[in-house]
Amino acid sequence: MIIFKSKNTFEGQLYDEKTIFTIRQHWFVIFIYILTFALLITLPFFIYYWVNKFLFDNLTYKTQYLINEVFKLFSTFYSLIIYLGFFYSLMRYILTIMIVTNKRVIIIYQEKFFKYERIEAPLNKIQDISIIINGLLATFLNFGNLEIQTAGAITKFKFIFTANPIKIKYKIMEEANKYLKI
Amino acid sequence: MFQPNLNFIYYLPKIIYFVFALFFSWYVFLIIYHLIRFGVGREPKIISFLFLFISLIVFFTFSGFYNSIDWKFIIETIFIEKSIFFPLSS
Repeated sequence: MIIFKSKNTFEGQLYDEKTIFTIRQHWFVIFIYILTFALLITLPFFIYYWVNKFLFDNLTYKTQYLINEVFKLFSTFYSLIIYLGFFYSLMRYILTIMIVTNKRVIIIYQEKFFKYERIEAPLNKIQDISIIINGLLATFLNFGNLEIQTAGAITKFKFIFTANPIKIKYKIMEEANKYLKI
Repeated sequence: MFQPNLNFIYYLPKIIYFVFALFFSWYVFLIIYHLIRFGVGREPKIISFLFLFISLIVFFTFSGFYNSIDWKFIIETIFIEKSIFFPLSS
């Protein structure tokens, strides 16, 4: 099937440009999203439990029924909005990417709908790549920030939550060296 | 004494449903559009298909729940009887 084959083409790709590899942020970012949205989706049930336990005894049957129906109404809309919010975050995660080609490094940050930041650095302009691994989780799970120093107008490029930053650093350096030898 | 005509309130659930369905469809379209148009590699395309499929299921489930709500009771209690503004406890 054609969908399972991809040459990782992207917008603005040059004629003789080939994508060497692409990197997304570490899975920990997705894990945080899942955790947050899982907590948010259970929130109405906690509220309902609390109302049921502490308030229902003092109310008439009619009021109880009204609260039940209003709760059903709000929780239905709330769940749907949480669902959309989760996929919106997932979309931002998927579209935030670093593309390394045989000519340049491109970093794309998807900020919101129809707004993204795209930074490009030609491989011959890369001067240095530094990595910052900050904290216990980052050390154990092996993620960190990758900073590319260039000789261009924008001197520093940053890709946050990079998975396996040391390996990625050497892979980019290798590609830069290959490009300079040509 | 002037009595406002409140019959239009019975159409409120349908109006809310229509507006929300429109919003939901537009949002789903935007996410799928972004994933297919700007996504690099095969993952965004696969996720966009999955998202479309799950969204259909979620929306039908939402419709089911929405229809099970006793709208007549809510409307009559809040807007017609206005009993929500009176003491509710026994």
